Amino acid sequence: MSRKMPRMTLPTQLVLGELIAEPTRRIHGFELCAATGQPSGTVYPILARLEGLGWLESEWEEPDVHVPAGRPRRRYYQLTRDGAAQAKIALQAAETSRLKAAARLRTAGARS
Amino acid sequence: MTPRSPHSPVEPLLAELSGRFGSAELDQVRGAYEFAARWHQGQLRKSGDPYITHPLAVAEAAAAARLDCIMVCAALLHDVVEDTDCEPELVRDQFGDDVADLVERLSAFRLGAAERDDDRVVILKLLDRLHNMRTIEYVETGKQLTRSRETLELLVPRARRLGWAVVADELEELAQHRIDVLTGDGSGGITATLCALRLGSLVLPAAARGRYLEEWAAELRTPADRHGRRRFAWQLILGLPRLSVMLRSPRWDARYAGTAHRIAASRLTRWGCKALHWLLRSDVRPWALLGPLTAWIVLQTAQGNAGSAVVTVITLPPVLATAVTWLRDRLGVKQRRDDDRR
Repeated sequence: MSRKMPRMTLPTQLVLGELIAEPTRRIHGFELCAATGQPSGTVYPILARLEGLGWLESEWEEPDVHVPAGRPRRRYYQLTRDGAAQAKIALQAAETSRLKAAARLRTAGARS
Repeated sequence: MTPRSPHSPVEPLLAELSGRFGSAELDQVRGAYEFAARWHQGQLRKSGDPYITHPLAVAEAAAAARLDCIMVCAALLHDVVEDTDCEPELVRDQFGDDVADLVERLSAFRLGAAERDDDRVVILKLLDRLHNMRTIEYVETGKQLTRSRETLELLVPRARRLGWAVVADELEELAQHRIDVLTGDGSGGITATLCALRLGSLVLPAAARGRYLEEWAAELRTPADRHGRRRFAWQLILGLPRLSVMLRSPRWDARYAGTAHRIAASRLTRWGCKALHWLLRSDVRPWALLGPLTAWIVLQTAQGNAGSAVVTVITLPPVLATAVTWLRDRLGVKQRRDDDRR
């Protein structure tokens, strides 16, 4: 498994945060856009990136759900076990660096 | 005898059958799996998965439908004679006449031919097609359409005649939606949006296009109102270049396999050039495309500032016209008036 990290942009953090809130839940793209408030054009490239890294896996909705509903199959995304562990670390690192930056700003503000 | 690995992909199938089949039958199923896995070794599905995943999935469907041991074995072996160098006699020697006959008749089965086929052959064909339809997004677009139509016209009626509604319904749903996604028929209200998405999806790797179009076709039915759908689609189109870059990154190669990926890229370029030539040859076509785009840009600008919208209206069309002329010169496209086409 690769140790490679996605760039932890704010939308990436939001997407990961939503996925990790309930790591065993399967979620489809539109739901994720609604939950994070991010546009679809931002969410899908992030999902593709995370899936390419092996943090996520995706699968089609089962026929016994979408056939009676009379719509095409949804594609559901879920964190892999490894992805959930790495996402937690990455989110914490992003949080720490945000706190550090805030602290630096405060000290700089106090000095001037 | 190969050692029994608890992680062999056939184990879930054997576990499912263990309540119904005796140990001799289970051994035969395991044998058929190992035989097929050996012959299909190194072959890949269009999805990039090992080929054996397909016969295994068909066998699992046969097991779920509570078919007998001969049918499950035939499902596992169904592509061995047709798609590998395996001689039919080898299957006959190892698995007996019943299995070998089924495999051979399935290979010889032609859709739309004689109606007197054995029901058991038709059942296997239906399960085979069901798995192929579930994974059709990796197949080239043209083939997706022909197979979907064939499924609707020939296989769905067969399944209905057998009284097999579950399979008939799923095949119908998969094929119908595939056609809707690719042609934009039916599906009231979202046709235009899907059309725009389909055009935009040309920037994606060919192997990924089908999957995403199908995924989005389902998503477009989620927002309750038209406005939400439009916004979802427009934002998607704006994000397509980024998505395309992500999907072309080396990480995805395993999925959208190396060579197929490169072939797709060159085909895409060729297609793009052809489309561009076709567009530029006529007077009307470039503006049919640029007109709505200009209008959209103007509307977007007008939401912010009416003044800049006016400036855009005045400046953008001439700039675009110059660009079109420049492209025509550059590509050596002879302009042709649309009214003297005949």
